[in-house]
Amino acid sequence: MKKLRREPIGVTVLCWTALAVMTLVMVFPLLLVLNVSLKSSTDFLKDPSGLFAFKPFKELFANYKEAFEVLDVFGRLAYTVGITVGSALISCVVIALVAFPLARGHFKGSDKVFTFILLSTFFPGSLIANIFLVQNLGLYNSPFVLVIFWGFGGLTVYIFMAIQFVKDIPRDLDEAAFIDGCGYFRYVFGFVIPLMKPILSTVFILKLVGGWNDFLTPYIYLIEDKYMTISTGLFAFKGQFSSDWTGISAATFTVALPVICLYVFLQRYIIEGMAAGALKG
Amino acid sequence: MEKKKHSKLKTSPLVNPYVAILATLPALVSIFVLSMLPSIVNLAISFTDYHGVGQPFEFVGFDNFIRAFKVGDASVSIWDSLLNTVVFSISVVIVQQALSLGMALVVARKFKGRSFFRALFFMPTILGVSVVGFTWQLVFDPVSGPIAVILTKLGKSSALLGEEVLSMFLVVLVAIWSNFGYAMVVYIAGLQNISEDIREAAEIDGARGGKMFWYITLPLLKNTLVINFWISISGTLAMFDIIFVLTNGTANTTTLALYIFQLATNSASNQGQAAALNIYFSLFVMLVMLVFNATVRRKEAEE
Repeated sequence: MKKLRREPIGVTVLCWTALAVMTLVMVFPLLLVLNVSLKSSTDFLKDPSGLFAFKPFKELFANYKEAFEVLDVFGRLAYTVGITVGSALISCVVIALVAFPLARGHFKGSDKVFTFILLSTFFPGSLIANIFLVQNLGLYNSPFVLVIFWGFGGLTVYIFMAIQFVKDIPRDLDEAAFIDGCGYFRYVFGFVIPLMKPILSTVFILKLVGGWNDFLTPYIYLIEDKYMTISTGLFAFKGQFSSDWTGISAATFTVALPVICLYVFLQRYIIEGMAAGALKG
Repeated sequence: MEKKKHSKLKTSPLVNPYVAILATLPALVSIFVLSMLPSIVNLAISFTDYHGVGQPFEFVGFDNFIRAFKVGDASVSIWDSLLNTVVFSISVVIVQQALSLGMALVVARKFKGRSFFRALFFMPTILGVSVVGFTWQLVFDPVSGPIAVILTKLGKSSALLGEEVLSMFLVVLVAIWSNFGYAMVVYIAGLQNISEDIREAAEIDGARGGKMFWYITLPLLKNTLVINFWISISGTLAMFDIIFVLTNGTANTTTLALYIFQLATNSASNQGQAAALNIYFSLFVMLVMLVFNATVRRKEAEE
């Protein structure tokens, strides 16, 4: 699009100054963590603000080695990824299964079900009641709790988005398939879910990041160390070694790095998915 | 009534409605159990002196609602945490919205690299609270953090997150840092919805810079502003995780939401009283949102 008038030079300067300052504010804390994570404790104590010194690979990443061992990164990584991926997949299936009949009005009163879902958003949550339910249902200290909260919880906004999405898919295919005798669930899994791929992949990514980052749910409902996810492990690590900043920085960066990498590649999906969620919710 | 006709047309004879209902059940059951049931259970607990699983408890009527204001240890009073909640929420909401709208205006301009800046400012939103918390704890470390180093060079010292008044200011800062990119992205979407024609017409009529913003952009952004403020107000009132990681509520940063979290996770505390407090808190949030809605409506009626 053509611009009518060029921006005054003062505005341009102001904008770039704002961008530069904000970039510094955004990046500095993370670079600080990276810098400290590459320093030895003695260097850090001597000169906490100095830049890390280049050293042979093994020494440079000594803090990471320590953090990996204390955090049991590899074991926890498999556990965390397993539960978050499993929960995210469950979310996608549950959302597709409810969005299709509601968007198509496959049974009488489906609009009332829609109202029911909308109504649920007005109920305030209660941590006290959640803990009561988890404990009294015998789920306390069971990793299954994570699957329940991450896989089956927080779906409402995504359900609304998914219903809107399915409404835009032409119904001709439905009719043809049903006339040919295709079963309902077979049709949902074989055709609807593949067609919903754009919206479901957004849900999947956001659920994945959400589970990875959620340190509170494991912290609240699980006791044993082996059940702690990587973010909660980081939290415990900090509690144990509160003054060992070089080790904590390495652990913090280790937890942040996968999310940052995922973000670099999928930022479009993530930003637009989260913004759309806000506007629908 | 077009809708009615439409839905009649929709009910397909080829679909067994019971099978379709079956498909919705996993979602409906989880919504009921995870979103609605806790509110009901919370109400039930609030009339008892429940302390924890396996412990006997009895019905105590409205006792908890009367005594809710004296819960827990005497070091934190409800009124203090209510005050903290108000200070925290107002500061975060106002500064965050101003900053995100400002940066949205900057980033929505057409220039090379704008998607990079958009992504950069949004990034903290996807970092976990523990990552954000420890990153800023390092920045604010009173001995070896960069701010402490500068202060030492100036011959001063400060406990930073351990200071009574300053800690709230720093917590507010981190809350803004970690979330303003979200509101910014929503503002950018709103700005992109403003048609170029209107701006051009206004420009021809002589609207520039500040005038353009005040009389054209801002009124057209009204819906986006309302959505963003709504999300920000309800979000900050309930926010406690970042405060929990940064200070755990020491040094005057206990907000109501954090206080309730502390009571709920403390096995020694009376869960009945905590539940009653939680109901007060929910009512408080609802009241704030109703006042916000009414204000928006009144403004709309005035126009």
